[in-house]
Amino acid sequence: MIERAFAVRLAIPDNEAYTAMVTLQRLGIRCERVERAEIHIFGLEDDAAADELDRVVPTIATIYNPNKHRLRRLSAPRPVKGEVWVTARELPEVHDEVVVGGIRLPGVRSAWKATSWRLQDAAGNDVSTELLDRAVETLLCNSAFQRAITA
Amino acid sequence: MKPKVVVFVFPGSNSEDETKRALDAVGLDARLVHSDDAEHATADGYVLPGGFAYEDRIRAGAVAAHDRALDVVIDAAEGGKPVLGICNGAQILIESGLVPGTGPIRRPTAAFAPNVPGGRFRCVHTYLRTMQPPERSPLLRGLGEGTLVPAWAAHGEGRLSASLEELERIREGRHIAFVYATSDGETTEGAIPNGSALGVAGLINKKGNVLAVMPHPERDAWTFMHLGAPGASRSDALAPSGGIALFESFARAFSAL
Repeated sequence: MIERAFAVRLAIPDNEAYTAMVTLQRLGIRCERVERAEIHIFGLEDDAAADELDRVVPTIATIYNPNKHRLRRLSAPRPVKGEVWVTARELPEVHDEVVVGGIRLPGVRSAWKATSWRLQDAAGNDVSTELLDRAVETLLCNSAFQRAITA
Repeated sequence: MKPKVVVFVFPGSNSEDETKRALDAVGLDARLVHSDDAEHATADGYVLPGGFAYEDRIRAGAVAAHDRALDVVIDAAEGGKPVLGICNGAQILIESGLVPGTGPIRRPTAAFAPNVPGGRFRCVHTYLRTMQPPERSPLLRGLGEGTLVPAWAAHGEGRLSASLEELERIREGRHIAFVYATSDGETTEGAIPNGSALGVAGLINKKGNVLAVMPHPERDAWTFMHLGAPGASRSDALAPSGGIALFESFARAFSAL
């Protein structure tokens, strides 16, 4: 099975990211900018299914609204350096058929979501790994039901 | 003098009025206080109402658990004052680590995670079955073990989730205040609306002075709200009954402490 991932980011101001930043600052985690994206990851049978998925995903209204989102296909289904993905602790289930937003996705066997977070300092650089880990432990991830994935 | 209870209102709370009404009805002096005014919120007890504090940003209860209002609530809880969280209030209490209270403050050991199946919001009538004897907690003193309290479960994130070791600690430490039940008191799989581990609908801390309840008893606390349910009488539709029992028990805690 191969995997395909898409990042959906708000094109309008992201109030949730702002709230996260203010809360992190209150917790003593120095960051001046927080970026957030919804990550959609699909497990696929083959490359043909992946090509079809590339065509269909932009039409799924529950994933992407062109009026307020930017959609990007990721080169790999995992976070890059400086990012953390927070997702459910349970591993995604494999199904014979996957339906998302009322649309059947041919050749797709699994679908799961994560929230991507990136914290930056005033100069626009990613915060240190230690600080990101602290943000994950104190606020961004509840390990009772979630797991954090880093690069 | 009536015990003073502060009901904290966060941006996004939506059940504060009916919660205050239920608290007033059982003889408490309930005051609504916005979380921004937390430093002025001296009281004998605290209640966190339902809703969507901070729009459930990051995850339900996560931001409010780090709010200044929770500093007040945590101090009060550690001082032995009664604290009650309903629905989103329960989510805030579990995120703050006050319940089940098996780990450090603000390092949650459990969660009210998205419902299964599908993580969907569900609104269903249910019954809370009391799982502890009255002596276990001053907040449960007015409810006998096995008592049924009617309530409405209305949430998308109410499934108790934790590691197997933590679930064992919750069970062994007698932290389960309520489980979901049918009107007959049966605790079947079908009675659980959200896939909650151990069927849990409510948790208490070790000391027994902090109670987190996912369903809303205040939405079934007056006779007109449950006309047609078993045992409901039409004689006085405006009289408190049903879910009010949980608030009566909460009020009794103030004389017990």
